[in-house]
Amino acid sequence: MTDILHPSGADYIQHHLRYYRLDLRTFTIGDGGGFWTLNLDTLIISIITGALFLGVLYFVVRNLNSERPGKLQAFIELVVESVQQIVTEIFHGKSALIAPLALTIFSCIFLLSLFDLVPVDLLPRMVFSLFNIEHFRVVATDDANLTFALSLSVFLLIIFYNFKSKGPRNLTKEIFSEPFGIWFFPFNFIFRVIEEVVKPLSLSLRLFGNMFAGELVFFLIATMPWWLQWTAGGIWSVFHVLIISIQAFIFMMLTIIYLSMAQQSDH
Amino acid sequence: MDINVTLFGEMLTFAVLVWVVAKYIWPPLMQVIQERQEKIALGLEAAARGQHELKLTQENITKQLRQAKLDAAKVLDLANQQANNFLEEVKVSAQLERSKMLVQAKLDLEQEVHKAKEELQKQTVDLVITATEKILQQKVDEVAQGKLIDKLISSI
Repeated sequence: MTDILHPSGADYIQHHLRYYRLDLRTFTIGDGGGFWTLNLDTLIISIITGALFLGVLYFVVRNLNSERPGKLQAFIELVVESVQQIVTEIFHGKSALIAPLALTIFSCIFLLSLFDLVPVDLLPRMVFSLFNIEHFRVVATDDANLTFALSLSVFLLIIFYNFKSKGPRNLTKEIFSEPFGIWFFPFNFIFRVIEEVVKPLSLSLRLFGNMFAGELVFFLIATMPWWLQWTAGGIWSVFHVLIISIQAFIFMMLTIIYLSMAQQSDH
Repeated sequence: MDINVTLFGEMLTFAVLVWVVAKYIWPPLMQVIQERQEKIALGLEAAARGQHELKLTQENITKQLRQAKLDAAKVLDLANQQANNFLEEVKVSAQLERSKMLVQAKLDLEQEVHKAKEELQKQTVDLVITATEKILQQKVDEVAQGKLIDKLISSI
């Protein structure tokens, strides 16, 4: 238990919480780059997962059969149709972007979080033995960079839809005159800013918190004696599948709702 | 939880993902789903129409069956009536014939009786005449007379 991948106790957890990082200023592996650092593990895992996701979808789309759909096609159609239905129910406007966006958000969060269920040491050990990489975190959704990337993208879209549906004039008017009337414009403005900023913050922090806590619990379980791990591990795994699905669904729903709010003229 | 450039890398990745899904994945999938939905709707409509037609046909058949039964009963009635009428007619004509034949027979019989009577009378008269003639011619011969009388008696 004292080799490089298995330090004991708190060291074990500390070890597992370190990223595989690239310092962009010196192009060397390791921490200390400050802002100019790339979390390579998060990027690699999410790009690979995204490519797989697109690959499967592309394979299905290439072999579409409207007469007799295969099982995979039926499953994907089921997901796509339910997402489309949710979007049509909530988002009252025409946009070809919202439904694919919602599907991508849901699928990516769900798939990336599923890495949480892989035994915590399996992938890091494989990466270590194959590429000699010491620190490698496999669960991309418990990197705040990824959750903020998602929520800031949504935030940008919220701003875009605000401008698109209302125009700069009406939007300015709305920001300064609602909800208290034009004479309280500083308060209105502050309220609006807080309201908008809270959206991406709550989106990303909720996901990050859930996933980080979930992974931490897995680390803790991994420090238990090996003959006890299956009890807590089994229970927590089952519970965590639920959390993953719910988190992915919540993120998707809130995205649709926020964009719908941004698009409606009566705020 | 330290934010770094990874954020932008992930945003870019996410943007590419959304773009590809929206551009290449979503439209064909939705098209297939819509096609199938239309097909299902058409199928359901056809099924409903078929059921409606079936119901109509069944009603029609029951109606026709009832009508056919009615017709058959009517035909049967008519046939019975005709048969009865015919029987009646035949009976009447037979009775008529019978009475006619009866009368004829009676008439014939009477005629026959009458004829026989006349014949008998004629023969009796003839006989008497013959006998008388014979008696008158052969008065002398007693024996012959006696024989003659015997002969006559036996010939009657």
